[in-house]
This record gives sequence, structure tokens and C-alpha cells, in this order.
Amino acid sequence: MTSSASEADGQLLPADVPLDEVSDEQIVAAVGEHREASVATGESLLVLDAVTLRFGGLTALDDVSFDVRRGEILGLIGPNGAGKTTCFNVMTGVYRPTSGKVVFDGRVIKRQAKHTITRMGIARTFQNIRLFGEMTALENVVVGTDARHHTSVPGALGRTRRHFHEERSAVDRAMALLRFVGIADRSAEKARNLPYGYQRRLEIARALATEPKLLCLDEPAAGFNPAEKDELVELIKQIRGEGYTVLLIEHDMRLVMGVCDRIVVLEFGHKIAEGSPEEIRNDKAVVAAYLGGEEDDDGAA
Amino acid sequence: MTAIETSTTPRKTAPAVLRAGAVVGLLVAVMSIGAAVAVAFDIGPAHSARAAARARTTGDVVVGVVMALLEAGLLAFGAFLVQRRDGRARSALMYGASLTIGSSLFWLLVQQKLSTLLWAIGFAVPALAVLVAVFVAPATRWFGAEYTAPSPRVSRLRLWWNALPRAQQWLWSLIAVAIAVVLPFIGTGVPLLGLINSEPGFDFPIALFDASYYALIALGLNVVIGQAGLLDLGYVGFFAIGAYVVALLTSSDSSIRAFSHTPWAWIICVPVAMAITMLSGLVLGAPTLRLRGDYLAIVTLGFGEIVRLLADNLPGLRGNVGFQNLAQPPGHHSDGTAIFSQTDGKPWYWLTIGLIIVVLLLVGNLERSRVGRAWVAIREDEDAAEIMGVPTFKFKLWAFVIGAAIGGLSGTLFAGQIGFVNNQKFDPATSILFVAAVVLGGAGNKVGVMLGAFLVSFIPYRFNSIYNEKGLIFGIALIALMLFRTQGLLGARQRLLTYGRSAYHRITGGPEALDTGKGAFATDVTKSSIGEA
Repeated sequence: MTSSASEADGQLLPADVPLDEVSDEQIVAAVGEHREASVATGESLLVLDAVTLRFGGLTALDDVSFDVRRGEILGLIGPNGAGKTTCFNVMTGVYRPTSGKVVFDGRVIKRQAKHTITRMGIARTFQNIRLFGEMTALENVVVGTDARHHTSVPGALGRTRRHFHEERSAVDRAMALLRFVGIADRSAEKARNLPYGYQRRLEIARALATEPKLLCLDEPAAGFNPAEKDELVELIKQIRGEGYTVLLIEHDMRLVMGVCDRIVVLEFGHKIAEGSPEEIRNDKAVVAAYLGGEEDDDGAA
Repeated sequence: MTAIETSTTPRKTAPAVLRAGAVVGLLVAVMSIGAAVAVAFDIGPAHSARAAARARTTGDVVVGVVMALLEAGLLAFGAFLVQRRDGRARSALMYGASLTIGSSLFWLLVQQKLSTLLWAIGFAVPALAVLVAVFVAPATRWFGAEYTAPSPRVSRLRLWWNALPRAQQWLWSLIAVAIAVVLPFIGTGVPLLGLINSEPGFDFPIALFDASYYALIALGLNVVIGQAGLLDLGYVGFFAIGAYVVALLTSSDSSIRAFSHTPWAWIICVPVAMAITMLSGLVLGAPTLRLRGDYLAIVTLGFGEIVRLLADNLPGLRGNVGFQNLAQPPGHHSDGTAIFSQTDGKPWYWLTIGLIIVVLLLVGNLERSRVGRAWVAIREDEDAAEIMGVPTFKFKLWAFVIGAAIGGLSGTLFAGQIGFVNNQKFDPATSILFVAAVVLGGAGNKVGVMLGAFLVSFIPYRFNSIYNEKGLIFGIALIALMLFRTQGLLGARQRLLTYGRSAYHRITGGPEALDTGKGAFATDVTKSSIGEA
């Protein structure tokens, strides 16, 4: 925010300084650039209001209501097939709810194009990694930053000032994000050649690059070993610390309990519980759903 | 021999099948050298076929000798490497055998005699055996994983190019353009270089002009196929529209000729034609770009056919009769004859080179911007791109429109040079040939697709006797390419960032570490196979 001269042409990181010599403060500053940081925490950012989604005879989501509050990490858990990812898809506009509504930041998510919803401030990662394999890690993240850009064919052909400004800030921000998620050392490599853990983190960096208000992570720890999971918890906490709201789908209970402020539990398309990790841990319906418990199959009804 | 164990991967002895392949390869190599000598000195079994064959130039003979020596060299080298248990043995044998089969086929088509058939079988069958041996051998186990790695030669070339300072890259590009510009002056008499000349079979400058407008087409189609990953099989439609705009607006046969009286007629037609093709790209794209993959290909194929059938059947478009006396760009030599004429291909060729440079710069600008990134993102994973904020439909439409404009531009050049347009040049086969040029050269690689276009259009002119079999030959070449090298001759690698050079320098301290891409088609295949797993 201090050097207005370099900011004018979109530069966020010092030019010609190797990426690993840039200070952490500068990285964090570049990551947070432009974003409405330090939003009022606590108020609802995303509200699911009695959302029902049917595919023919199958009810994937049945009257699900919960809200995601600004600045929190909300966990969305449930057994396989509970409707967690479907829930994500309703929020990001992939599916349209049969009834009920999704309100994000005061606006109802209805018939907007998916890329418009992204621009409203919802970003997500994918359960099965979906990077642009032939692009380098850096280019992948820059595609994310493009969500906020306006240069189209005329601007790119004519190389307008806006084009150069956007390109410079995009590259700097992308490099900062790659450092932020801890994969900067291989950012010049093609995404498909990166190791699995790097690909997962690259997805997070790409999603963050769209400058979301709400970051949805779909099983980010799948396939991670315990040490990697601990690192991921740190990263998620750090992301929240930067003012992002996080919605987390995860199977690993230890991870969910360790990182989430609140947890929503789904089973067979119903919400069966909502509350703090402590409350969820002691909730009978949840224990039954996960462990089979004494009540056996009753939880489903 | 067992002493030459490398430290990294312990290697077993060569499998018997590969050793057998090497022996057969050596045999073919010796035969090839014999054949080369025979062709060169006009002796031996090749002699009778030669005597009976149609007249051939010394160029053909030199090409034959060079090909024979090359395949012999590769096969012998491969056989030698099998003994050394070197991972490159596989590629050497593979390329040698493929070349042998290719050249046998080539001579068969050139001579079209029974004696050549026997002679060609004599070479092709053992070479096929080598090829089979190479593929059957459990090479990964034997050589280690490195034989699957991209050819180090290509990577090194790319690294060298990427590491060059900007100014030097421009200098080399300038040299390449200069070579292209003086190409028409290389007569048949020039030693060695003269081999490229297509005369007496076909007028050389006009053949070069044809190759150049094919290159322009390939560049346009590359935006659609190579960058955005949209398989367009009806691209010839845009080419036809460009040509017909010139015909309708300037031909003496046209009732609506608007500009035929001014010397600037052709030049005025160019922007008009591009605007109309862009519009037709929009009209085709808007309803159909919601389709994906094969479905889009089918619809575009239909579009190309619609354009051709309209030309066939609309009375105003004069079908087979066509339009004569089309306008050409202005300008006269000092003796009063027009610079741009039907007989002299050189000015047309140079004009096209100029336009290619402009198109390369503009398309390059697009590639290294939000637009280029959007296209590649769409090609790689359309759903993920949309969810990452890429307005996919808008950018697919742009790809179509830009591709259409370049196709239309190419059509105006074609129409102007020929001076005559009818419905004969715009069939689906031509459209497929355009796609073949892009895929052959390497979809997504601008230099690659121009190389592909040059090969596809120029080879039939240079080797006149195979002109009618060009579909067969390029078909086989495409199949071979898809088996051995999915990414085309030059693999795809776009640079998608305006400040990429400085960024990668800040990250790695050197140029970007690039490997050859799998290209537009390979990605698609991998993706779907993972998706279904």
C-alpha cells in the first residue's frame, strides 16, 4: 500500500528479486492485495435456506438449511454419499436447487453463469484434482487471477495499458500465492508433472487467486499422510487468518475437529447435526451415523 | 559387455526378440546401402524398374540415396546400441524401420510398377518385423524408464531457444524469414538446395504460394483446434466464404460486383471478407459451441458441407461454372505488366509471408494474455475453467471468430492468385487436409502447424507422381504419428504469460524448464480415461 508508483503498473512484488528471497511480509501483502480483508466476522456470508435437490426420484438434498459465517472455518462432514459434494455443487451453481434458495453475500444464487458466481466470491477446489495439466503451476494460478480481469480479445490484441497492468499484477500475485501455499519451488513445472501433494496445494492457490470471500475445499486432505495433514491444517488456519471464510468437506475426523470452528453433519441428504466440534463429538445421531452405533440404521429415517 | 552397467538402474541382458530385431535391422541396413548404391549408379535390381519408370529428376535419385543411407544408418546404429544395451536403441530401430517402410511405400507410389512392388515388399516386411520386435520387447524393464522421456535432442533445442535473449530470438526469426523470402530464387540447378524445387513438375513460386496460404490456414485453425481444443472439421467453409466474397464483389461474371472498377478492389475485399467470415463464425458458433468434442466436430463438418452445397446449388454462386477475372492487388512493373498476376507466384508468396508475420504477432499477443490462458484452460478442462471464472462460451466463440477471420483472409489470397473461383476446391477432403496439417505439425505449436501445412501442401507438388495418392500418404503418416508421437512433429507448448520470461527467471533463476507437451488431443484422451476410471 505504500509504494504507489509500482502499484500503478500492477507490480506487487519487487522486480528482479528471486522469488525465494522475497520477504514473508511482502508475500502476505501481495496475497491479500485488493481483497476486502478483515470483514466483519460472525454475520452470515452464505445461507442455505431449505434447499432440496432431486434428481428424478432420488432426493440428494432434503430441506437442508445452514449458514456459513464470515471469518469462520465451517466443516461439512458426513458418510459417503451424504450429499456433501452435491451441497458444494449447489453453492457453486453447478446444480440448481429444486426448491429453497442459496443466498451469498446478500444475493440469491439462481441462474447466474458459473463464472459469474465465482466472480461473486465463491471459489472451490475439486475432490478429484482438476488442474490444467499442460499449464505450468504459475499459469494455473494466473488463470484464477483472470477471474477478476477484464482484458478480452481487443485489449489483448492492442496490448492496452490495462492488459499490461493486469498481467504484471497477476504474475506477482500468483507467485506470492504459490509461496503462500508452499509450492513455489516447482511453480515453473507443468501441473501434471507435480507430485500429488503439490497438486492439491496448487488447487488451493488457484482458488485463492480468484479473490474469493468464501473458499470451499472439497476433501483437500484426501491421500495425505498425517504429517502432510498437519501442514494442511496449518495452511487452512493461515488462510482464515488472512480474512478468508473457509468451508471444508473432509472425511478425516481428527483434521475436521482440529481445524473447524463449527461443523455441519449431513447424512442421506439430511442435516442431522450442527454445532461446535465438541458438540458434534458428543452428538448421538452423528456417532450413530459414523460408527453404526447402538441405534443401527435408525439415523437414516 | 557386462562391464558397462550404469550405476542408476541395473539392466538385464537384451531380450532375445530385440536382439533378433537388431539382426534383421542390420540386414535391412546392408540392403538399404546396396539399394542406395544401385540407385546412385543406376545398376542392379533397381535398374530395370528405373528404366521402365516415368522420367525422374536427379533430385529424386538423390532423395532416394539420402533416404536409403539414413535408414541404413539408423538401423545399423540401433543394432549397435542393442549390443551396448543403450536406451536409445529402441528409438533408433523404430525410426529406421519406419523410414524404411515409408521409403518403400514412397518408391512404390513413384514408380507404380510390379517390379517395384516386389522390391518394396523385400524392404518393408523385414522392417515391419523390426518394428514388431521393438514393440514386443519389454523395454521399460530392460532400458529403465528413460526411453519414455521426451527426446533429449528436442528438449535441448527448446532450452537453447528459451535461454536466448529476446534480441537474439528476433534475429534468428529474421534469418528464418529471410530464408523464406529468397526461397523462390532457388532454381533446380542449385546444388543440393535445388532439390527442394518442384519444377519441372509444378511451378515452384506458385507451389510456395500454395504452401504459404496453407500455413496461414493452419495458423487460423490452430487457434481453434490447438489452443481452444475445439475440433473444427468444416474450416474449409470459412476459406470458401473468403474466396467467394472476392469473387462476388470483383468478378466480371458477378451481378453484384461492387468494386471492380477501382485498382484497390482486392484490397477492399480483404476486410469485407474477413468481416463476413467472422460473422459466419459467430452464426455457426453461437448455437453449436454448447456441444463438445465429437458432436462439435460433426456439426462443423456439416457447416463446411452446407457452404459447399450452397456454392453448388445457388444460381447466384454459379456452381461449377464459377467466377472469372477476379480482382488482384494493385501495382505494375516498370514494363507495365501487373505485379500480382496468375502466372507469377512470387509477389503472392511474399504478400502471404507478410500477412503470416502479422497474424503470428497478433495471435502471439492473444496467446500471452487472458485470452490465450482461457483457451488452454478450456482445452484442458472446460468445467474446471468455468468454475475458475473463465467465461468459457465467450472465449470459445472468440476462438471460432478469430479462426474464421484468418480462414477468410486465406480464402481471399487463394481467390486473388487463381483469379477464378468455383465449387471445386472446398470439399470435406480439403477440410480434413487442413486438420491434418495442424495435427501433423503439432496442434498448439505455431511453428509446428506451419511446418505441417508446408509438408501437406508442398510434398504433393514436389513429388508430382504421388499427387493423387496424397490422401493415402498423409493418412498413413497421421496414423503413424498418432501411434508414435501424439503431440505431432513439434509438441505443443504455449507461453501464456506476458511477463512469463521475468517471472520464470525469478522462480528458477534460469529459463523455464519445458518439456514437450502431449498436445491438444492427448490431453483429451487422458482426461476422459481418468474420468471413467
